[in-house]
Amino acid sequence: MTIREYMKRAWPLYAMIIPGIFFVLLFRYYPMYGVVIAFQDFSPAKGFLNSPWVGWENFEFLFSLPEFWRILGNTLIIAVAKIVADQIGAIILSLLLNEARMLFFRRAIQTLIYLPYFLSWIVLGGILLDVLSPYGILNQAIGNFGVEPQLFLGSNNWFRGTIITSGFWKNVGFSTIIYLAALTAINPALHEAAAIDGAGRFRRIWHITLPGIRPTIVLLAALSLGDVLQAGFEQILTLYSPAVYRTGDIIDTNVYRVGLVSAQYSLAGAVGLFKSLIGFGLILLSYWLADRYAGYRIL
Amino acid sequence: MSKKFPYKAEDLKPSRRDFLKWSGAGLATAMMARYGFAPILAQNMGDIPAELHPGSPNNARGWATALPPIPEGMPVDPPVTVTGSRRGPWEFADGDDIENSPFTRLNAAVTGINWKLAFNWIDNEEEVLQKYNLAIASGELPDFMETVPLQIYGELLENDLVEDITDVYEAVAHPVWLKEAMSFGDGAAWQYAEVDGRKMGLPYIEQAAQNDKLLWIRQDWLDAVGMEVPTTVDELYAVAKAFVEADLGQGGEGSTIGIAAANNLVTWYSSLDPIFGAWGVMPGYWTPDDSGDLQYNSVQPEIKEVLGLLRQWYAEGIFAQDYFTLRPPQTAFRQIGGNTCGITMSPAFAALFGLPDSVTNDPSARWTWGDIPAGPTGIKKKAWSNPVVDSVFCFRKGFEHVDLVLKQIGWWAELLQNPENRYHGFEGTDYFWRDDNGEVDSMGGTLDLASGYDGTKHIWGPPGTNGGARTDPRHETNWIKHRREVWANTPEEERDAMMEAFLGGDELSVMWDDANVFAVDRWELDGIRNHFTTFPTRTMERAGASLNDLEAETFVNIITGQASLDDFDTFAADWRSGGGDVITGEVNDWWHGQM
Repeated sequence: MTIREYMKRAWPLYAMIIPGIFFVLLFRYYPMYGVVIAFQDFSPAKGFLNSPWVGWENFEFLFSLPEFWRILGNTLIIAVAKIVADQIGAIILSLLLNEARMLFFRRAIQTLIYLPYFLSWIVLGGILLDVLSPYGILNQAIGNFGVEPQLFLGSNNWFRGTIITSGFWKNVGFSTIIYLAALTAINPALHEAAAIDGAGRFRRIWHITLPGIRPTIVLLAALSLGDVLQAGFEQILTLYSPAVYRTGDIIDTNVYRVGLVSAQYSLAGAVGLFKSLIGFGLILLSYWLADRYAGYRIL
Repeated sequence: MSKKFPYKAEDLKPSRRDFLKWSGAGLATAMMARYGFAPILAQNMGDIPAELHPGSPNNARGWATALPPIPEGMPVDPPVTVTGSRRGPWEFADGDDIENSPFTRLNAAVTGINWKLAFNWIDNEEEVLQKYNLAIASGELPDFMETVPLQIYGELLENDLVEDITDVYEAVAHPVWLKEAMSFGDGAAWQYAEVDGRKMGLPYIEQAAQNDKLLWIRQDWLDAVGMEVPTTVDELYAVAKAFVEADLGQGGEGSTIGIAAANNLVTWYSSLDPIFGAWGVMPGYWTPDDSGDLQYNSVQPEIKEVLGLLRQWYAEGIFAQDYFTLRPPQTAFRQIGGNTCGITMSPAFAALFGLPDSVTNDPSARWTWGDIPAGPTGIKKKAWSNPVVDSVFCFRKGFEHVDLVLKQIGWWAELLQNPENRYHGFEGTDYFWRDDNGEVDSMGGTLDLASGYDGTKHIWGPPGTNGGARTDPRHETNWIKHRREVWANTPEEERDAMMEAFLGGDELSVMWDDANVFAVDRWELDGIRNHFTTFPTRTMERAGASLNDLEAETFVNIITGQASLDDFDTFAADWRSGGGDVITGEVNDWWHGQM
């Protein structure tokens, strides 16, 4: 088949992706020229073309912030812990749900854990502030066991844990859905055969279920690497206070406060670019990992 | 500077009292037979159709609104169309919208100006910046720009996009309701709107003493411990301590706290600014020292003394353990409303925000209020709430009808702010009649019976701006005084429904009125003013946020005992070396350049 013959037959398929490519170019690539503001002292009235160029000044300022290493560290610790907790938690939860026999029970639990995903952090922030306060329900509960009230949101010992746990609680339902979908793809005949051979529940999970969803696990874990600098701006902004800047202040919240003093579009642009570059590197890495361990590749 | 209810309308037009005086008993009786009370004659109606008129003159217990004199040369013919930006949200009766409402219809009849909405935003800091930036970038600025944030205003000025209104203002601005009303505080009103002696827009002025603190305290708790309303910081401490020890709160055992405090020490509700004020300092503020230089208060030694005191109070359970995680409204809902706390240093409006929840949750709760406590040397000061918001009403460069818009603004400023006009809004939009007994009810919360007649303001211009803008900062207090001096002395059978609604307020709204009048009377006496009122300096832009963080962290750690009190000295030194000295220099360059 010559190319000519092939195209004669396949051209509608190529035509169909043209709108998609156009969309990506227009909304994903075209706006990228805006990153030039990271290298400017940008003023909206002057626009991209006439704002003065300042070279690396915005980046130098970002890296010279006295808190820079602290906020970078907090961002990494919180984001990585969230990714790990989210993935492992979702796997365990979906395995448990998969083993549950009663369909109603399974559906009910799944809906319940999925529910917080739909609430915004502003709403959840108000609820958590109440629940976690020294006079709140959680402290009253642990108080019954003789534990002193803990400042879950106000102490540097607790703050990261609170952020990670509450983030987990909000998001885990969503990640669980994907694993549950992957679990349905496993051939039941394998389970039946193993059961006849005398394999118990845990043995079947270990040798059939987990290997069955391995590509999904690796893929999701690898893709989430791109989020390694996304520690959860809204969540932290609603829950933190100066007392926990030491452990809870992340890049986004810090830049937000810098921006409150005066509109610093260029600095925000520089931060965005910095985070994108790190994210880009990690996505390349995760792509390699996905290829290596899950056989997932695009080309 | 401050005059008692200064704006008498007698010289401009006959008032209702004049009318009654002139008309004699005969006419008044005839009118009472028809209206149930003697209404104001609908004045200055010109060709304005009756259905556009505010008020409810045709209701048995209704009232008529007296319109101010129609400005010279208005309504303009042919009518002009002006575009303007607006801050939302708003709500209208069915069929009406922001461009076509009772307000715009009356306005068009009076002035000949038709307004077109260029864009709007809901009260949100990011959104307003976005919208204005977009307008700047696209080169399509509205003719009239509502509440332009300071940083946008700076951009506009820098790029010469704002019309200089100095001369037009001199020529056509209302002599009383613009010029005189905005002359308070030695030109304080114009701190942003005037640049190098030229008026580049109109100031955004809110109610005077809006956030000036008073001491709100539970009278029933005071009775329970046998104490009086404290007048000094020491007495305040003793009372708070007694409340905590007696565990009078509604929460679980041991959950009573002494004084409500929030994440910011100087804030708008449950603030500790009067405690700092008792030592004559205010964190975050710039005030002149003996030599006339501005000094940053947060690094002064008096702050250390106050922090030491607050640290001791925190350790003794006077404050909530997690006070520093609470936003001000949360103290209102949880501590005041939840009845775990009996003392808050909050503005007069606490009587309407927080206290009502408290009484709902505990009907035996009785609140009272007093002046802020005095310090050891007798100083009694609080954070001065600047009625001038850091935001300006601007006109597009080259806009040719500035004079018309200024006349319109003057007309509405008088209608809305002169109590003699008896303006209570539009029936069906701001209120409706609940029954034939002459009761009125607010609609959609737009008319707050207790807070004056400016709840709904939907015409372009400072006095009509949603969110409390006006031209006279004492306007609300003038209304209270008017009600107390004129309405209260109106014989009961002559009162209309609105008068009755106000005069028969419940305990808390009467308390709000009292507190408001008191706070406004003390407004220019007890306030510590932040004298740095311009754009952030270069070094502030760069280092300001870090220094603010350092300050916030240090203060909260000292108070909660995670850092030693002497860490304050380290902080003060770090602040100076970390850019503070440079900022002080820049601030004083600006300050001395001002004078």
